[in-house]
Amino acid sequence: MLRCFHGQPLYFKNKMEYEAIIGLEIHIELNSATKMFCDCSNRPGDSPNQNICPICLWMPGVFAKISQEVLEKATITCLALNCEIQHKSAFDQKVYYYPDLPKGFQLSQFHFPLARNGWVNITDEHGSSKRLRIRGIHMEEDVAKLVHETEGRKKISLVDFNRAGTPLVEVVTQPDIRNPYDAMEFVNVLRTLIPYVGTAECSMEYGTMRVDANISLRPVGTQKMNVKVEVKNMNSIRSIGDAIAYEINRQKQCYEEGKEIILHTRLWDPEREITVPMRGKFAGPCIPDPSVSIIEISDEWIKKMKNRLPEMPAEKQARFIKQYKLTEEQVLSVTSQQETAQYFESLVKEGISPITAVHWLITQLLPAVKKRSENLKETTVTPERLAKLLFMVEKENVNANSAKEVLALLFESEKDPADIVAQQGFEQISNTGELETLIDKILSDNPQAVKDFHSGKTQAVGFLTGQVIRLTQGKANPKTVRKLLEEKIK
Amino acid sequence: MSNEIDIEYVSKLARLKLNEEEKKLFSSQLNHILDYIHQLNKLDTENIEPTAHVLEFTNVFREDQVEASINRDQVLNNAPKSQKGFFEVPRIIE
Repeated sequence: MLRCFHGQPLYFKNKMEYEAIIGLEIHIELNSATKMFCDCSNRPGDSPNQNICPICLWMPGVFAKISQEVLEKATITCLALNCEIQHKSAFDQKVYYYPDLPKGFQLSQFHFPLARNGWVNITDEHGSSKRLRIRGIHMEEDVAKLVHETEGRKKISLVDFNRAGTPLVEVVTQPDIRNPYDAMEFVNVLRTLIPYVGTAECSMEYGTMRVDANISLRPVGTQKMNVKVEVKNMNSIRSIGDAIAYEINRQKQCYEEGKEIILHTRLWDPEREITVPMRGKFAGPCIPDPSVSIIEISDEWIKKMKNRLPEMPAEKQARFIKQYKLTEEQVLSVTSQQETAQYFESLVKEGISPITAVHWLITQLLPAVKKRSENLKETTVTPERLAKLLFMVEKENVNANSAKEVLALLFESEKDPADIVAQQGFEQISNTGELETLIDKILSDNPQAVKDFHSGKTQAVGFLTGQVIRLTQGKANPKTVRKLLEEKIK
Repeated sequence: MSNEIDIEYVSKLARLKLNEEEKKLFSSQLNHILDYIHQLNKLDTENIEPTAHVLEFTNVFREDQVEASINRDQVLNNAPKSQKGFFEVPRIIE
């Protein structure tokens, strides 16, 4: 039989109905201060080999000791994904040879993982809720980072140990997923839930969350599991969907052409939008590690970790709908991230109406914060300062357009919003005497528009209102201008 | 004697080039070792809990407190090759 390794055109004759069996393995870097087994700083992005020591350089004879914090963060992550924490877990040496792992084995949990039997609910393509099961979650150390380079004709790899020993949890799903959409949704739910509990950042872009997919096909109605192919190197939610869809079609074509599928690993190439073969899949032996201690966990300790879980998104959404009378869409926009929800609630606590708070937070503040590469927790535009500005909007001291300009200035200094408004002349002009003079000028400058109005084209008022506001450089109160204009023009 | 050893595969993993004579010799020796190990399979382990650890110690933890790392240049001095703060190794892509 032929071996099917290479990507083929997507066209295939649909002779038989196939169903895809998809399982995901998701590596997530925990955000502890130190690495998993040593006191080095857990900052993989620092200048190469800055955070290293004999333990994470994997020198012979060192004593790996796990940090309490890593165990706690890993446990909280497992609880957020509804897993059963195991009372006893232990580390194994997963043996493989590669330059990113010079000691020859990775400390991982194989025989006794930290947690088993979890689940998350996702919303599928048709809008219905679906539960996807998690087989287990285990802890393991990350390996060194390799940078591949070519010097003339010589191919070399540069090794950076900053990431060696970074604490990971690996989430392994049951092969419950049947289509690319559900796989994307599963990752999306994890990417929301885990940062919520604050144990990891889960950025696919920065590699703090890495997703591998195992994919096999079988004729609809059969139960036997066929040989699977592992796909790696997807660096966005979208590419997960694209890579899985591509791989399903590729395997379908192999079956239709009578080619054998063999167990191997493929890489997603985002440029060419295909998967390419990387290597045969070699599962090394896993043997109990004698240096890291066994972890024994009591029910009481698990309860303590459970108490550290915050209100989860689903509960928060239900509460927001009830408490703040917001629509589902509005609620989703403010609860997708813990810090956004916190900011929203602080604004409301300051006395801003929920609707105004959602509107300014989502359409103005978040984009501005993102543009400045800041985050809501650390920005100088605190809820107190934004609330002061929004009060002025609600009281019509400042109109919405000016308020947007003031918001930009709030980022630049620590000044009180009221001072910025007063000092830089952002107050809304509601003074009728002042406005009437301007309106008279606009009316005499635009005789045609006045004529249009009298011949029944009422939209001319809108045009004239705009002209007056322009004269004030946007500071006139639009409602007052319109009212005065309508009175005068008659 | 069992005949389980795929000497081509093992020599590839070990990055060793063997001639025909050596292949024969080492296959036979490795198969003998396997036979020796297989004696363990005769033990009845029905009611024995799997070993998670060879030593009796549990819950030995560290605090999550960053301590100074070691000097990078000193470490790189021990490497056969380095550049730009990295260790340099021949590229291996499987």
